[in-house]
Amino acid sequence: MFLTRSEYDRGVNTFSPEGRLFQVEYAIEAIKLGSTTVGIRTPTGVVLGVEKRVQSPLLESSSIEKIMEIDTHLGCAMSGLTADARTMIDHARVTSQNHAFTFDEKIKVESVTQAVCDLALRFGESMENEDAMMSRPFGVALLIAGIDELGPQLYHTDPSGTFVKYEAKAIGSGSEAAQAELQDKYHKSMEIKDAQILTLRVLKQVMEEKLDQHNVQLAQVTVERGFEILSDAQLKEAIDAM
Amino acid sequence: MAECSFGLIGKGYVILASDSTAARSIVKMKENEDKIKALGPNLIMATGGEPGDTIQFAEYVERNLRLYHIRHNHTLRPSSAAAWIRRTLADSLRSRNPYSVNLILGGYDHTTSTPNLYWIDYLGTMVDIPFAAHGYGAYFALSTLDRFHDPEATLEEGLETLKKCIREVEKRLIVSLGKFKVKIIDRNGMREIEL
Amino acid sequence: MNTFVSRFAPSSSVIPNSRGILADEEEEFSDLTWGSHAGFGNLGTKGIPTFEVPHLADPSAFLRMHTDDYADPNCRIKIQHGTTTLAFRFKGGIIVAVDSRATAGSYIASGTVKKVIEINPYLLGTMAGGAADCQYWETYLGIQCRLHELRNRERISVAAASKYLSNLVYSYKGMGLSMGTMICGWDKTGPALFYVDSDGTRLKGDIFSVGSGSTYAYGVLDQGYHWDLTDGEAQELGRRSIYAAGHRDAYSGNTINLYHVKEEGWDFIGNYDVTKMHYDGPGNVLGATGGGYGYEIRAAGRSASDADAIDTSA
Repeated sequence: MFLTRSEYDRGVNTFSPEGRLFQVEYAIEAIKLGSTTVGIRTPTGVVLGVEKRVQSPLLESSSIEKIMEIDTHLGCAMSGLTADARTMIDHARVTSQNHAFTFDEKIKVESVTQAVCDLALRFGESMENEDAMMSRPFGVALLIAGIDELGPQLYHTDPSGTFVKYEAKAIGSGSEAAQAELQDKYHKSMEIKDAQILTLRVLKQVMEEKLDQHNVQLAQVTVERGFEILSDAQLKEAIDAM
Repeated sequence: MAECSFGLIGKGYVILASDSTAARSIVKMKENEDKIKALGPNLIMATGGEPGDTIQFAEYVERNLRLYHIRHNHTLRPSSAAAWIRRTLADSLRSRNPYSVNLILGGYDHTTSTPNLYWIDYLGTMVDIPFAAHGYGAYFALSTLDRFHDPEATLEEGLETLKKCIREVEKRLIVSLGKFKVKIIDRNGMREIEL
Repeated sequence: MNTFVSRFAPSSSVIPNSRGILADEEEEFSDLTWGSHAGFGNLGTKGIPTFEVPHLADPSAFLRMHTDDYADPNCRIKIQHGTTTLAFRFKGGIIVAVDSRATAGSYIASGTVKKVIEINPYLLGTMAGGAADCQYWETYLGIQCRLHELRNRERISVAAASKYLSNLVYSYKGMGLSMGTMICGWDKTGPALFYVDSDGTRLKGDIFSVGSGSTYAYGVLDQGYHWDLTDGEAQELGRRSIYAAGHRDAYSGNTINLYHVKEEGWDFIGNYDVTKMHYDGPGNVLGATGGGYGYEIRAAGRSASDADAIDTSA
């Protein structure tokens, strides 16, 4: 693709003659630089796991936030330019709250994913009588986990605004190896504990550092307890079980 | 409804006093509401008028004077602050949503070593006077102050004059206003006292 | 008392003003423009949704003309006025008690209104004035509190939540909002109680009662209150105070809803029928002293006559 670089990869909203939007494609590339993030769906809940790259021993690893709560029944893990994810997740939170306010029910996982993706292509030069919009595509991919009347679900979104439902998905720098491993080991009737362990195993395989409770984070959305980030003790237990 | 505040100057100080009841209709909702806002180390303001407006306006003034101080590294003198507040009220009066707030502003000007007292109403009227009163209390206490006020009074004498005003209001006004909060500003700054 | 009831009619300022003549730019508000702040201001242009107001010189006067059932019993829109709500702080938390009657003029529109709005598991709001105004804005406040919690990983303080609400209603001042509410909760500072009304007033305090029956509620509450009440005593005091208002105030009554705010969040204590309270009392519940609350019940068999003291032997 780099052969066809031309003036068409400057404008964020100009198609190339071959029908491509280069800036969006480059944004998808940005995710491949991000840390590896894994999500696995089971019949009772969804597990999310991220690698936290602790670049310096002086860095407080607890301050790296790559899994965030959207609402009590929704969680989100990210890879890529995590700063962009803040905007998207805040939008998801506001959408979720407004849905509850308007309809007095919890928002569906697909609806909140759709709402986030609606944001993805709102970049480019602003039109007349319109406030300035975002200047570039988001450089982040999300794994949105949640539970609604259709049961536990896992969605993947990318900078093009596409969203796809997955049983298990890996994104980020180690995603290719991780996805292959998931394909190999995943089965539909996993227990939530098995999913935690598989998540950790997959992460361990693609991480350069030795995996411990400081450089990974696990979260889950379960039918009983909703969204929760696993505590240090729970995480350690899962690591030991692996 | 029956709010009341006083201010008076003496030798090197200003005293501000205000009732401390918050009433809705015929009900006293609160008996210890502080209606005298500290706007800086040497400036205080007693507010009265439309509920809601009073607090919003006082906080607006407070934040603006604070911003001025941060931007210019210099606190406005009481006279300048009073002028700005008056102008703000006058502009507000001519807007779609005017603040209905009456004020007494007391400050100590270190550049001239004089205490200042300003009477300001919601129409943007401002006067620089030795003693001031707002509310029904004004109908009783202004004559008391005309008779007893002394610009060279010591703090004790000044407080005695203030007590005369409050006693008069308690004696003649048909509603009880409860306790008065009293704050003093002099060259050493602001302090609150129990009467 | 009529003036007191009319206090819950849309407020009229001391000085006639033309507050909020028209929002010139009529903003439609889609769900996308609601209060998103993170980084992209344009995603939520205004934190607060705005409404269109009637295209008149003075929309609040127009609204009053059609809602003031005291001046005109045939007015088109009847706003719920009569109510009794109370909340007080004590060592064991906050007691919140309300009646459940909704009136439209002299008609009892409902006897089963929920006047305590459960904003979230640790914040309660009470409802007096316009039922819709209270319900809508306090639920909206609930959203903002939840977003605050998600964004800052910390629960909002009661002071901050009540300030948000008071700033919100202040921005609609003079446009006919009518609410008198108490925001009750437990935060880092302990139990906290704020009174917020549609004038924009916001007061921190230990005891508040709002509504047409509030004077009667105060009459019992003030006399029975002290900081060191036990949980049972406090709940009984809340029940008795609302009963008193339900008994005396024609616009309050039917049933009592009682809540207790504790450190872990609020608890719904119970629903009590005012008439049953009058004759039988609350029964065997925490804090109950036995017997009906009504004067005739309480004083039954007691006589002021001193005939038995007169020496008849002489």
